[in-house]
Amino acid sequence: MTNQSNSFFKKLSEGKQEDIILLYQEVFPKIEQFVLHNNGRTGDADDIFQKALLQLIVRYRKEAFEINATFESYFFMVCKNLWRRELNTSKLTTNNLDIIKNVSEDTNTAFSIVEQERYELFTEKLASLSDNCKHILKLFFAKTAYTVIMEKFGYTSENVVRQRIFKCKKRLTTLIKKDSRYTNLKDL
Amino acid sequence: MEDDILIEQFLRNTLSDEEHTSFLARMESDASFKEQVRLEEQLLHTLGDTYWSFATNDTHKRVQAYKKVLGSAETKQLKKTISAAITLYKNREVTTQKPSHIFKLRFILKIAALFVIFFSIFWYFSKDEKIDYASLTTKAWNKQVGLDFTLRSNSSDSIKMSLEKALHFYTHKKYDSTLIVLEKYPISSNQYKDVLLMRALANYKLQRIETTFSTLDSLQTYSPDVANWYKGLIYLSQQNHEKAALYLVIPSEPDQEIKLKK
Repeated sequence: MTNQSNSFFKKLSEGKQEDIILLYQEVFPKIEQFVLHNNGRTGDADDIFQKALLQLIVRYRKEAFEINATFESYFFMVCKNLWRRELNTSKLTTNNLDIIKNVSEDTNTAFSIVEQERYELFTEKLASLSDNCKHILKLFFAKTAYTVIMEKFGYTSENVVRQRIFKCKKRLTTLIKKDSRYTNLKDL
Repeated sequence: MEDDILIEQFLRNTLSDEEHTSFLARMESDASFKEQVRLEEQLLHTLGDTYWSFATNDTHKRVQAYKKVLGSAETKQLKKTISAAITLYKNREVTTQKPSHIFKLRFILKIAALFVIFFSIFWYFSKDEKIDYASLTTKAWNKQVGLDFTLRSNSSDSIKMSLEKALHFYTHKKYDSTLIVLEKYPISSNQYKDVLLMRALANYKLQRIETTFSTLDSLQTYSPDVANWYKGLIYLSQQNHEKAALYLVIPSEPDQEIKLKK
């Protein structure tokens, strides 16, 4: 399946109309549904599709890379992140907002590409942790209260939860820092 | 561990003003601490659901490299191709929608035709299966519920004789005579309920509906089932199914019979 996905990706990076249409036909309904269910409109979904496709082809053309999922699900994940980025633009502080809004379209697209790369690095490393660490860190990043985590995992005190999170986070950051991609993605 | 708590408090914005100032000062002087803080912030914003971790450094080498690719003629052409492909697809959709509508219309018409045929067949066969309430009612009247007093009573007194006489008149459709025969019978009589029933039925046949019902109300005290049975039958004969259903079980299938509602 991933071989098929990667060969399709390679073909898609050539930017031929028929391949773009094929992808649009396959994945757009799902993207549209997601955007519409998350405070967006059909026009936004179209925009997200185009941005995601451009982002991926540009990435591939600069540095060919492989994906470890079906192309449809990978593309959908990229679209989700782009929409999340779009929605969170309004949450930026005034200073950051100026930076984002006053940059050129190309700079903004370049930002979204490196952000996606960083996302992939983080999620890949998180996935390589033990199930317990993965679960506990997901709750931690979702800002779940320590008392809730304590009850969920049967820990005896909040301090035990804190120590466990500390250890898991340490493992995660160590793994990230060890990866060569991290050097290229820090200080963004 | 202490730094970890401190970073967490910073990211959750729970440091005091003094702690916050000192935290920022440390970030300025300690590059490794700063890197750790930034990484944890990025993790929180990227892996949590609430935020997104934005890049803001447009002088970054990688950002610059992508900008170069994005600014190329090839990428500009790619943007145009993507946009044109979507437009083309949408236009194709519009043109191919017509046959699709025709197909849908044909499909709907076929379904409608099938529905009409099915409904007609159903109606044709079901009309014979309609419940004949008139004949069921007649059948129920013919059961002559409560009119078996000649068999029930062994007495040879005048009441029994009068009742037999009244029933004779009743069956020969001499309803006035029935009433005359049963005119003077006291409540204390053992067969008073039979007298009431005969009076009620005779009055009904004489179309004295109000008297019929008041007599049946009197009968209710002695023989509630019999009184209800006839009330139900009278309503059914008047085609008042709603009221009849208060006293009787009205058949829902042609092969069922009218029963008293218990």
